[in-house]
Amino acid sequence: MKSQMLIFAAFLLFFSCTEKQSNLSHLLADPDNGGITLPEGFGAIVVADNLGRARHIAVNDNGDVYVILQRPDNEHGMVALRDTTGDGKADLISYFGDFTGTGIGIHNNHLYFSSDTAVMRYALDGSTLVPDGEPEIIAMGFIPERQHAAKPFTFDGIGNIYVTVGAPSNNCQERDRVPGSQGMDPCPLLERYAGIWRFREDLLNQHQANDGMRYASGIRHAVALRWNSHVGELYLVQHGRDQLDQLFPELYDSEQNANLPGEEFLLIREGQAYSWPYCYYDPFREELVLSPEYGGDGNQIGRCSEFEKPLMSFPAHYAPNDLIFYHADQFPRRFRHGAFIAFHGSWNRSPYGQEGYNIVFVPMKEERPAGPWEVFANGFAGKEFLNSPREAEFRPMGLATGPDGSLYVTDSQKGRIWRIFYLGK
Amino acid sequence: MKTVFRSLLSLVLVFGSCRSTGHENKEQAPAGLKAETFTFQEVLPEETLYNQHCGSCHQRDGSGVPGMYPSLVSNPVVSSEREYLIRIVLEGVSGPVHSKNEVYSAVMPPQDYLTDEEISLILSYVRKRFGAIQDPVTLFEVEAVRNTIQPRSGLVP
Repeated sequence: MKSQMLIFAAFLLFFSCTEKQSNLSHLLADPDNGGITLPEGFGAIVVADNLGRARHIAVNDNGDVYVILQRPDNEHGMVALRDTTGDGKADLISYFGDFTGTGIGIHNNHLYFSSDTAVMRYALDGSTLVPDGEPEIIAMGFIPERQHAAKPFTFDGIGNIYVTVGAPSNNCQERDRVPGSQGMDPCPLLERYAGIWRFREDLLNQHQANDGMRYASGIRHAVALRWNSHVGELYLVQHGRDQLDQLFPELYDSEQNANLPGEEFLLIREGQAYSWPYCYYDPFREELVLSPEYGGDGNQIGRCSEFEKPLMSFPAHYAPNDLIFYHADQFPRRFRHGAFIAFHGSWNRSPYGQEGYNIVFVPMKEERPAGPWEVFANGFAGKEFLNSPREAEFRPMGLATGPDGSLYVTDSQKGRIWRIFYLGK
Repeated sequence: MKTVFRSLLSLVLVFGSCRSTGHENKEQAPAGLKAETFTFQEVLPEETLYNQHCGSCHQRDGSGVPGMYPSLVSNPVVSSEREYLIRIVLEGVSGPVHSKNEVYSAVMPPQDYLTDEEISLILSYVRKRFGAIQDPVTLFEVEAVRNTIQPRSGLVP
């Protein structure tokens, strides 16, 4: 009898835990959630503030947080954060490293990071916050560029690292961003840029041209790049082309420019060519449409029927800057294995208001979206109508999942870091 | 003409309907209204030129894009030597630009397809609006600087 009671009690306890759904009830969210809005039941803590121009973020199994910066702060390119008191706020903040950049990730006891021309790594010992010694170079030989030069990366868990090599161009015009200039055909930039390159994750000094494998091409620039370990596939969200109205004023007006093209959410297959620069995605027609640089008139499809359409698209110029798949279970069940995308926000929608500046959730079922996207976190900009990006108080940039299932978000304006978690019902 | 109008109208309609059923876009100002306000405003020709050729990157309010395109507002380059300013427009900029503790990474393409008059109007506007400098840049100054620049091999019409 007694043992039956015990079993029943254990059963109850088990169920109440899974129903309540918050393993972080000891954490106190900030009263204003650090200035952002979240769905009901969620809260946020500002982990650290004013760190500098934060880019991507990685969280170690012990909860240590690493952020890479776009420009040096305190004479360093990265910053490490540790919360020693358990209140969610970082109380150890250490700047380190000689390189600024965009990509950062923890994998097999190493802290990987990327400047605009190389992917490097430090060894992590699991207890020391700031890594010692000099970084090793994993991938190098990327041609230095001034446009779309960030080198974000992701791991497939079976020994490979995938690196974005963005196009140093808007749309492969003979003269970049010059009105009326025609597209080079075939686009020679596709040889060394505008694609995803694959390298071994643990071989040193691999050179893009000799050791890198062009995994996929025809991708203008993908700052948001992630291997989805649940289905074993690579995904990205592309930065779509700019300035349709400025470059081809006889074909596009400023309203069309503000709404074209859709930012493409793509499933990336090995060896596949995607449509940049020949086509862009028209989200209203749900078609890939021939670029004006390649003879398009805004309606023509032509060779674009040969390319694969995106899984989903997002409003033009939103600037997707990170993508993660949420495999943890701190959030309610519907979020499991879904995608979070951080949109840095537009600069190319004038005279209309700039938009984006939010974090979007896409429910996923196996390889594909299971429903429409929805805004998950908003209010980063701090105001309703933005004339230009500088007016934004914050711009969402990097995303990471912590060991307890919290979602970490970086901001590139001031360097605020949020930790978002589910509070329970 | 009629078909152009019709296709534009349908595009606007499609756009509008997408908006109304779209995802959480309801907070923003109605797009049609904004467009009208903009169209019927009295706009100086130099402002139109600035908006068309400079405004998407440097922004219509001149504030630029953090990390990409520098702000023109109170930017010392705007109030620097006129020849230097003209040269920037004609030749573009392709080295990192450092200004006010910020590094701007994006490339400025050469705007040599603009006429001397257009450049003089744009620069006079930029200097006046963002640098509070009244005396205009003349088209003869632009012509003089253009004559010192080697034509780009084979690409310039």
